Order: sequence, then C-alpha cells, then structure tokens
Amino acid sequence: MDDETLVQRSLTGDHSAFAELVKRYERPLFHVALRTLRDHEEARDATQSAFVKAWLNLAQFDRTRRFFSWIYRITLNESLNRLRDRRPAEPLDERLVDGGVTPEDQVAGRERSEQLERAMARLTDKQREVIVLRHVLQLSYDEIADALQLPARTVKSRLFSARTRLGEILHDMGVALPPAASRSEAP
Amino acid sequence: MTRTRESLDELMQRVLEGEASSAEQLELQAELARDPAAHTRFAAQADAFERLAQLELPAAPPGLHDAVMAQVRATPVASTTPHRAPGAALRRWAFPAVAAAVALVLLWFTAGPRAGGGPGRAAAPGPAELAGTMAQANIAGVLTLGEGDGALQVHWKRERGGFVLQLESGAEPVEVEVTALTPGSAVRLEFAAELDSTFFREFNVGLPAHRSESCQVTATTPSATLRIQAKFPDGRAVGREITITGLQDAAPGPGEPTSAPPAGH
Repeated sequence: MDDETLVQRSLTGDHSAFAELVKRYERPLFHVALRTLRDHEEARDATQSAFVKAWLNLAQFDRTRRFFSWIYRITLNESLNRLRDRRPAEPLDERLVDGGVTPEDQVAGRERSEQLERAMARLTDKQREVIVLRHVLQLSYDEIADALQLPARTVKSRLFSARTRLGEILHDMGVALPPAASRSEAP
Repeated sequence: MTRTRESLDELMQRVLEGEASSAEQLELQAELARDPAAHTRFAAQADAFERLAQLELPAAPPGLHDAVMAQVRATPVASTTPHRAPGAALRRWAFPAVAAAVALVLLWFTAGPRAGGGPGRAAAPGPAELAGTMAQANIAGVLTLGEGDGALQVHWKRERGGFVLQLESGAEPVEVEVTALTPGSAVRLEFAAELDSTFFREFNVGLPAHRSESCQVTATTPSATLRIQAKFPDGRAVGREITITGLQDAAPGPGEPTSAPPAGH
C-alpha cells in the first residue's frame, strides 16, 4: 500500500495504517535523529516525538508532497531543537569523539567505518545532512531537494563539496586514499 | 569543447552515480587526462563514494514502534481539517503582510534616513545595512567576509524587483551560503538557468579561488535581509546578515545615504 493511501486511512482514524507508516520510516528517521543528536536515547525520543507530531498534524500535510519529505522535516526540526537546547554544554563533536556510541561503533573490527564516522562528525550539519540523505537513505536529488526545500542544483553542489570536504578530513586524519591511478580509470 | 568547472563537477557526479552515458564517460576520461586538477577532484569524489557506500542504516531501537503507537492511540484521532489551499494561506497572511509593509513605510518616514545606517535601526552591531535607493550607484554596497587576500567580497546593487549579489572569492576557495530571511524575498542563482522563475530561499555555491558569480535576489518586500556565510578550506566560517531597504522606491530621494556596511567578521 502506498504512503498516500496510508495517510488517507490514518486521517480516518485507522491506527493500523499509521502503524504501517511508523514501521516503514522509523529506521531512516531514527537514523536522521541519531546523526543529528549523536545520542541514542535522545534520538529515540526525538523520533517518537516526530511521529506523534505527524499524527497530530496529519490533516495539515500537503498531499502533493512525499510523506517522507514532510516527516523528515519534522524529525530534523525536532532533533535540531533538542540539539540547540543542549549545545552550549555539550558540543556535538566532543560527544562523538569522547565516546558517543553509534551503532556502527558497536560492530567490532570496523575500523574504516569508525574513521568514516569520525570524519562525518567533522562535517557541518548541512554537509552531513545531504550525505546521509543521499548515501544512506538513498534519496534522489529531487527527493532531497523536496525534503530540504532547496533547488536540486544546490543539493548537487552541496553534496559535491561535502564529499570533497570529507576527503580532506580523512586525509588530515591520516587515512590513506587509494592510489589515484586506479580510480582515474573509473569512467 | 572544454566544460566549465561546475559542469565538469556535475559530470563527475553523474559518472559516479552511474547515470552518465558512455559518451559522457568518455568525455570525462578525456577531460581528466588533460586537467590534473579535475583528476584530483574526481579521485577525491570517487574515494568518498567508495567509503560512503559502507554507511548503513542502524536498526531502530527496540520498542520504538510500540511506544509511538501507544502514544498515538492515547491521543485523539488525527484532525480531518483539510490542508489549506494556497489561496487560503495567502488570505490568512495577506493582512499581516500588508500591515508589516505599512509599518515599515511609517518607520521610514518617522525615523528618517540616517547616514551610516538604515532608518530607525539601532547603531549597535547587527545586520549590515544599506538604506535608501541605489539608483545612482553601480556598486551599491560591499561586504567583506574573511581576512586578507583570501576574503570573500560580496557586492550588491539594486535592480528592478530586487537586487543582484556579486560573490567574489579571493586567493582561496570558499563555500558561500546565502539565505533569505525576509518573508516574501527569495534568492536564486542567476547562472542557474534551469531554475527560471522558481525562487528559493537558500542556496549555496562553492567558489574556486578568484572566481566571481552573481545571483539575483527577488524581493517583494520594501526591505530584504539575507544571511551570507562563507566557509573557508581551513574550517573557518564567517557569516553576516545584510538588510537592504528601499527596494520598492523608484528613484533616490534627497539625502538618502548609500553607505557601505562595515567589513564583516
């Protein structure tokens, strides 16, 4: 069943339809919250709160847009508000580097993944956001543009500079890049 | 034909995303062979793509779904009030918007223009301002973000329906982010032809060293406030807000200042 139908049924008070939407999007939305907040409990609370706000405001959802784009904004705003509230005392980067435990950290032996996580933490919020939307959630440029309310061209430009910055950070961290010669044959 | 850097970067993305045709792939190969800088950029992008492929979605915390649904079941059924049509939203905001515009005009006449600042505005540090019309000036204002020869210069001049921002990088590349803060004003990149009449409230652009780009800012309000942020390769980020007023005046009035804002840091 597509999102639109589930939304329509939810509006009639069908809890099972909304439960399906929760099931469909709890994982990516939790990920968005986790990336923003770097704290499992807070991310869990933010995700829960976002779903409940979506339920309460479902009638205001513009059904010409994707449901995910809409609830993504709700989740992100919820996460950013929480981050803003705590930021003076608990900077984002310190939380990550000093032991914020991400799911990736829990997988033993994944050194490259940890390096990537640390590099990601040094990106700006906006750079990290587009990287996650594109490379983790696998959204198209148009979907990202819709979710972030940006022109697709800006999304592309931001992604390009985010990946460039990520490469620079990894380089600064001493993570060797693969030989350039092998990659130059890619196209 | 040699592509612009922006176009070439876009081609790199298309190739790495697997969306490029074989002709485009060959074209990129040729471009990379003759442009070492492009080769390096492509290598960095390819490396990032490879690494980012490892990113995985974490599982949702156990019990999240149940917790959400318990809360949902405990709250009233979602309202069935229909989503407001754009016309309704317009009507809802029309009065406050008109009232705000009138208030701005009154403020202008009450406080009067002052040299070095806009009408009725505090002299304390805040948004850089340029008051009045700028019909006589080609370059109406300049804002410097950053220091030394690497600083970003932002020039603006008035044009019908808004103004043009000219972004000029110095000796180092810079990522510029422009956000329209005034409701009713919008920002678009002038060189982004495909955007045509679609306006956006925010854009960012990566400028290589010694590059100039311009964007059109369209404002339907008497003044427009923009936040401009420059991010430099070493991680420094410098941002300022500028408020440009008198955007709907047709000609310069007597004594209207055309002061430049202070350098921003």
